[in-house]
Amino acid sequence: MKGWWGKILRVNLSSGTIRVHEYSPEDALNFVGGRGLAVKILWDEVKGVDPLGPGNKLVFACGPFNGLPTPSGGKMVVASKSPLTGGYGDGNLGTMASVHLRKAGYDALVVEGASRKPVYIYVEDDNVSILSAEGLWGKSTFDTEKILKEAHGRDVGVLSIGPGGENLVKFAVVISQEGRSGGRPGIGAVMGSKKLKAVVVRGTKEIPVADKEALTKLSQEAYKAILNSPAYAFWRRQGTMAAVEWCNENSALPVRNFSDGIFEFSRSIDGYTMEGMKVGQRGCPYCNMICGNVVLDAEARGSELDYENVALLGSNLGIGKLNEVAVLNRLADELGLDTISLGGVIGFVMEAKEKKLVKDDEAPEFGDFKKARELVVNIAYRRTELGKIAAEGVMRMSEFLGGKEFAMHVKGLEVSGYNCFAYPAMALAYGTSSIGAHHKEAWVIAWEIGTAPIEGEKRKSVEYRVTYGLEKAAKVVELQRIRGGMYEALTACRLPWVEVGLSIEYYPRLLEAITGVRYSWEDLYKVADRIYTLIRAYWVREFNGKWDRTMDYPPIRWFSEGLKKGPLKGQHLDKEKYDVLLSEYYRLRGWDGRGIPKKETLRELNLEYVIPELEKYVTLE
Amino acid sequence: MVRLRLYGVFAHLVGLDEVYIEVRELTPVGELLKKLIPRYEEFNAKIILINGRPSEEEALVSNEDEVKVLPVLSGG
Repeated sequence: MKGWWGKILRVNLSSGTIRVHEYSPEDALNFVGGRGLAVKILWDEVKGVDPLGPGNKLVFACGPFNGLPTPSGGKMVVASKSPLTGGYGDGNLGTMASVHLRKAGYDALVVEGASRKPVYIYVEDDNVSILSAEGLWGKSTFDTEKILKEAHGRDVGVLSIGPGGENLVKFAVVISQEGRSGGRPGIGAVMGSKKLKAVVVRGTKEIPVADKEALTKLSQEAYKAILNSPAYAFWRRQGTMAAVEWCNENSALPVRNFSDGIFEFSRSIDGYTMEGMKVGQRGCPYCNMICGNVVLDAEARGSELDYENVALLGSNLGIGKLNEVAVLNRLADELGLDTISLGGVIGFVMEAKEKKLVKDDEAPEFGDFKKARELVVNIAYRRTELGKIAAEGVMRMSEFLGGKEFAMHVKGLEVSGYNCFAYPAMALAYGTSSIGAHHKEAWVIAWEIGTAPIEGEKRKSVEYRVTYGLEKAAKVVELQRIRGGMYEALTACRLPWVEVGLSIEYYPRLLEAITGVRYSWEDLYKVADRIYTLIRAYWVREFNGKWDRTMDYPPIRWFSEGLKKGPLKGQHLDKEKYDVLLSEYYRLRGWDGRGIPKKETLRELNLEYVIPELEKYVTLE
Repeated sequence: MVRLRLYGVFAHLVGLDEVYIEVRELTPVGELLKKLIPRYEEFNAKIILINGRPSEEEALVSNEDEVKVLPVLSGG
C-alpha cells in the first residue's frame, strides 16, 4: 500500500504492553483514516464500557494526507467513547504530533487500559516507551509541553492535558502548541482517566507515496492558489474573528446564554478590536493561511483567539471586553478545557443565577468577568459545589438544578457559536451533527441566508422568512459528507476550501497522488456516508437501543422563545416543520423514523456486520 | 444616494466600510458592486441585503435604498 502504513501503534497502560497492529487494506480503502479509522476501531473494540473506565480506548487517528506536504494537512482526529455524551466522541486539532506520528510509521495510536500512576507515552519511530509523568501531573498544558520539549528537543509533536483532564472535567480537551485544541466531548477526561498526561512523538521515516512528483506539483499549485485568493489578505488579518460582526448582523450571535442574537457590545469583541490588540499569529503544520490570532489579554498574557472562543466566552456571557474574554480563553487552553462548552456551562450558570435556581454567592451573573474567571478555575479543579457540578456539563446541570428550558445542548454537547432562532437548516445541522451540537460538519447558515426565498418582483424582495424547504436537509447532508466525512478522514482542515475558495477538486487528486487510488466523488460520499451511519449505529448500541428522533432535536429555547430585538425580532423555530426536515434528513441517510440505520443502508455501505450486533439491542427496519 | 455598507473581506478590498453612490436611474445592485469591489466576480457567493432583505444581483436599487454586502463565511 502506498499512502497508508496499514499500521496502528497500540499501547496498553494497564499491562505496559506495546505492539504494532496491522490493519487490512480493505479497511484503509473503506474508511480512509482519521474519523473513519476511529469509528471503525470504537465500533469493533469499545462496547458497553464506562467512558472513564479502563475499558475505554483513546484513538489518535491520522489519514493519508498527514505527515505530507498537503494544504493545511497537519491535523489529527482524537476519539473515544465520550464521558460527556455517552456516545461517539471526537475532535480534530492541528498538531506536529500528527506529522510525527505518521513519520514514525503509524496511521494511528490506540491507548488502552489505564495506568495507576501518571505517565506519558514517548514514540520515536520504532522505539516506544511509557515514561513517568509524576513531575508533570498538575501542570498546565503550556508548561507541560515546554518541559517535554526541553527534555526531548524541540523537534517533536506534543499532545497534553491540563488539570481539567486530570480532574475528569466532562468537557476537557487535548491541547497542543498552546492553543490548538480538540476533543470537545471530554476526550481530555478520557486521557486523564488513564493517567495519561501527554503523548510525545518524533518520526523520521519517509512515508511511502504513490506519485511523489504529482503530489509535489499539486501541493505547490494548491498553496499558490490559496495565496492568490482575493480573500487571503483579509483572512490573514482576522481569521475566523470576522464572524463576530457577521453573526451580529444576522442575529445569529449567542448572547447571554443564547437568549438573544444581537449584542450591544459586539463591536468591542469583534475582529477589528482583535486586530488592535494582535501581537502575533500561530497556526497548524503545513498551513499557509494560519488563523490563530494572538492578543495580549487583561493579565498581559498571550491568548490565541478564534470566533467560537469569543462568542461563547464573550457575548454568551454578556462580557463585552475582548481583553477579559481573552483571559477566559487562555485559561481554558492552559487548563485543558473546551472553550465552547465552558462558555455554554458558564452561560447556563449565569442564567440559573438570574432565575434563582442557583444561589451560590460565587455564581456569576451575566457580565461578571471576575466571578466567571474564578468559576473557570473551580471547574478545572472541581472545587466548590458549583465548580463540581458545572464540570459535569449543561445537560447534567439542568437535570440536577432544573432549567432544561434554557439548557443549550444536543445529546449533551453544548451548542457552539450560532444562534438558530431563525435558521432551521443550521438547527438541523446541530441536531444531526455526529458528536452532538457542533458546527464543524455542516455550517449552512450563510447558504441559508443567501438563498432565502425571494418573492415578488426582483426590485424589492420580501423580508427574510424562516422557511423549511426540504432542500435544507439535502444541503446539510451534502456538507456533512464533505466537512464531517472527507475532511475528517483525510485528515485536513476545511478552511482553505471554505474561507478562501480553494477548489475542492484538489482533494481527491491529492489523495490519488498519495495513495495511487482514485476516489470519485461518489466514492468519497460513500466513505462519508459509511462513517456517519457507523457513528449513528455506535450511538444506538451504546445507548442500548434506547434511541429515538428526539435525540436529534435542537434546544427547546429556539422553539419556545423568540429573538428579542433587531430586524428578526420575534423569529423562532417551528417544531412540526423541523420534524418534517428531520424526516427528510433520515430519508436521505437511509435511516428509519427513529433515526436508526435501516438494514438496507447498512448493507449498501458494507456495514453488514453491524446488523446482528445492533439487533441485539433494537429491531432494525 | 445609495448607501452601501460593506463587511469583512469586501470592506477590506475596497478600503472602506461605507460608500455612497448616486444612481441616475434604477440600477441592478450587482452592477454597482462589480464596479466598486475589486475582484468581486471571483467570489462565487455573497449575501446582498437591500433594506435588510436578502436580494439577488439583478435586484434594482434607487437612491433611497441601503445595501449591505456580506461574504459567505464558513465558520470557525
